[in-house]
Amino acid sequence: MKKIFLLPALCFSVTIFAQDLEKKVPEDATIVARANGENLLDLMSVTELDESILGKSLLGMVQEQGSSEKPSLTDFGFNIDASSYYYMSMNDSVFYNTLMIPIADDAKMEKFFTKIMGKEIVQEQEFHTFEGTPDAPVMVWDKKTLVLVYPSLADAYFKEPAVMERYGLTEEKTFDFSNWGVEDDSEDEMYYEDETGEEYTIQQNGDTIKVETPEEVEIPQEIPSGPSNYEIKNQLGSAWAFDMAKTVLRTNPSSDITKNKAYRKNVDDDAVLSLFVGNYDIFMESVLKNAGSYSTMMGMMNFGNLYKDAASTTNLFLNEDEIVFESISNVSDEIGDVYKKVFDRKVNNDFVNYINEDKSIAFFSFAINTEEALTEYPKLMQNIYKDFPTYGQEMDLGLEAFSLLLDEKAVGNVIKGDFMFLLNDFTEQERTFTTYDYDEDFNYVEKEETKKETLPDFLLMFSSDDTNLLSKLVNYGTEKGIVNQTESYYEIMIPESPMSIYFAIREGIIFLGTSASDMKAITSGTFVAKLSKEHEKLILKNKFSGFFNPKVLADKIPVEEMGVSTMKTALYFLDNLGEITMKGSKVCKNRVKGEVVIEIPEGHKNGLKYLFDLVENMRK
Amino acid sequence: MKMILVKLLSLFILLISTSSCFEVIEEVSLNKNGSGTIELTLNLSQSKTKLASVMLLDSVNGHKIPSKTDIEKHVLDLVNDLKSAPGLSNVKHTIDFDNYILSLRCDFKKVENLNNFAQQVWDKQKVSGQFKSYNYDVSKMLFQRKFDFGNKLKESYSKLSKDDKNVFDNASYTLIYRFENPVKSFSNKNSKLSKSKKALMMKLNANNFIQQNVTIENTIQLIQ
Repeated sequence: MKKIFLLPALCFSVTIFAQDLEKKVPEDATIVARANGENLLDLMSVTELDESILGKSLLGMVQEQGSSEKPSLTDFGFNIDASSYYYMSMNDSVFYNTLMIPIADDAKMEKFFTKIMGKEIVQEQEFHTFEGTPDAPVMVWDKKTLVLVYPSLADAYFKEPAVMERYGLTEEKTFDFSNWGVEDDSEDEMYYEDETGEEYTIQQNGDTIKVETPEEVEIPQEIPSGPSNYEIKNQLGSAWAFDMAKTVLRTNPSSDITKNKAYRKNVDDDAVLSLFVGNYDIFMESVLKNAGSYSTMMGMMNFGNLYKDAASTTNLFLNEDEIVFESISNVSDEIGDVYKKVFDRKVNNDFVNYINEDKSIAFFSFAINTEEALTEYPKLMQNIYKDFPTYGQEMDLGLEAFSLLLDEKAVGNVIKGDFMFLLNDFTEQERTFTTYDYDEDFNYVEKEETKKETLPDFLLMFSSDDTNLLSKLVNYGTEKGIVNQTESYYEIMIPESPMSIYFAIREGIIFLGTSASDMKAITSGTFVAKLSKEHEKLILKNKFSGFFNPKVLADKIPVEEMGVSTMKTALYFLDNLGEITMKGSKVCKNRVKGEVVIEIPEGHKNGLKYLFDLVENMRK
Repeated sequence: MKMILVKLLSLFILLISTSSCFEVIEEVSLNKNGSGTIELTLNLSQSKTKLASVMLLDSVNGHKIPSKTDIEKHVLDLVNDLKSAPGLSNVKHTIDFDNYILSLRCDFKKVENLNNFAQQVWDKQKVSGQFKSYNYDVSKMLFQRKFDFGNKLKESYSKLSKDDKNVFDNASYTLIYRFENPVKSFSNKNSKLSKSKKALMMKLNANNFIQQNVTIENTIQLIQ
């Protein structure tokens, strides 16, 4: 049955005739994933896919023993050129995970599945399936589409007395979290019985205590036999999944996913893969309601406002010169307002004056409004926890007290909320160690030697409108010997730290880093900055940004000294990875967009071929 | 905040820091009557940057990292066991967490008591077996160092991951034996005799020792 799960791999690698199953995905599906076969085949031909490692491993399953004929992915019978879909839908009793793959040649597909499943195919009404009792995940198909449904039953539904009675389910013992923290006053009854079964005496602190024999308990002679709860639920799930699969093949929903505004707007037709998560509030409610032992407790958290109208979409584009992960999140008006307040901050323009990208391996920046974050966070938490069992009120009070005691404005002045982190280098530093000197009679004395060690060199910057508190902390730290002033900057004395950490305050920016020379240059105004306009824009125009140069990192890591076997593979990966940039936009019309772009190094025709090459070379 | 920063930094250092290196020194000073002193030293100073980083993390490569308190307790337990072991006295230990050097020293009445020392040390490390590593015949003035592990070390080593094995690549194991009388002969060709002829030293690569490419076994005949 495990072989069935090869299907997702197949649906990314097979297809030939355009045919869209999108209309079969219901509008209220909570998760929808699409693999766009047409876009994939634009990037790699079937022949190229056949020759790839993934293709070869899949084709090994259909290769006839002793046959010299070369199989092709088209021999699976799927329609590689069309889109395959996965979606999750649910009702009060079951979560349906449905995979739909278009078929090009049902005879080829049936031949393939008969071989890997080892079961006969039977006709079921106007469809085909495997012989025997349906077993999850179920597979049903017609001439055009294969539907695979995996059911996941909703535990909460099957705990309802009427439902249990209807299906003949018996009570299952579980830990009840609803009484958590409530003391049980009932005394434990304990019985002791000696070999004769009459009376038993135990010694306790030297006293003999007589314990009466308990009354005989009638034990049923026959334990009722019949299917277990697991078997009943399994059969139900499979039967429902079977019906679901047939319904999917037979009809289209009255309202399909293309009617969903967020889906329509955000799922991009140019993407190779797309993942859409919608109806977050309904989805979260159902998940929490059925979250095993925690269901009672988690179900009382109120996520309604947090996830109301929320949806998120991720698109993967494999372009000629870059691979792009695009993520779009839609939030409710209420959360949108919170986001707008919290992200109402720009990265300090002066940060760019302390970046030398000739030296930098990576940088990350982000900006939030600390004052607003401290104001809004307790409100959100209060909403979530207000109905929480046992400690709900205490949490509410605690959060209220937190807001009262904290001067959000003052904290917001000290730490404004914009940060910039730079990984500048890996520098060789001389470190001392103790070893021994032996004399001619092998008496030994300790001696100090030095060796070079490669350590990371980073710089963290954040803005402050009020450096008075920090100055007082510096004075306090100096008096207590925690801070050591060196010229115009300071060294923090952290005994646990494996390396030196310095900091400085200049023109409303706090600098924290590992390079004394950088600190000196920053405080003396002699720091030489170098940053391209493109990267400057990336930092200053976005709420979150990041840049990573894998090649520079690969060059600077002392792999031979490290002696870590897996590092060589990682280094190959880094060396063959293009520059990576990340950015997150501001909230616009309750929509936040983020993007990760990986440049494709020269010599590769497109993102898909590049990924296949990378994997194949790493396996060599 | 300070600790989070230091922990992140540690993780970073751990990722890029050079391979580990350590040395173990076993020094036995034997009197004519078979009494003497043993000192074991574990020096991890060459890896102190990496260790300082490791000590700030909870686990590395699936191995739980003990705290300084855990290590101190473990060593103290061993010291207490040694103090109550027959024939051992003057048990002393030092732990230097700045340089990551640990040493353990005690006097023994007879060489047989030295075997108690070895037994206690290995028991504490949960290494099973009966260890009779040392033997001394007072009348013949013949000292023997045996190797009791058989293939245990090699087998345990083979079960380690490649990265864990690398830890032993640059590690060394030094054995020093001192006597009141000069050495007449010794069986291990890797031993080096001191100028006074009253001390022998063997410095082995830990990897070679574990793989049994070299042996620490030695039979030393002293001049009577």
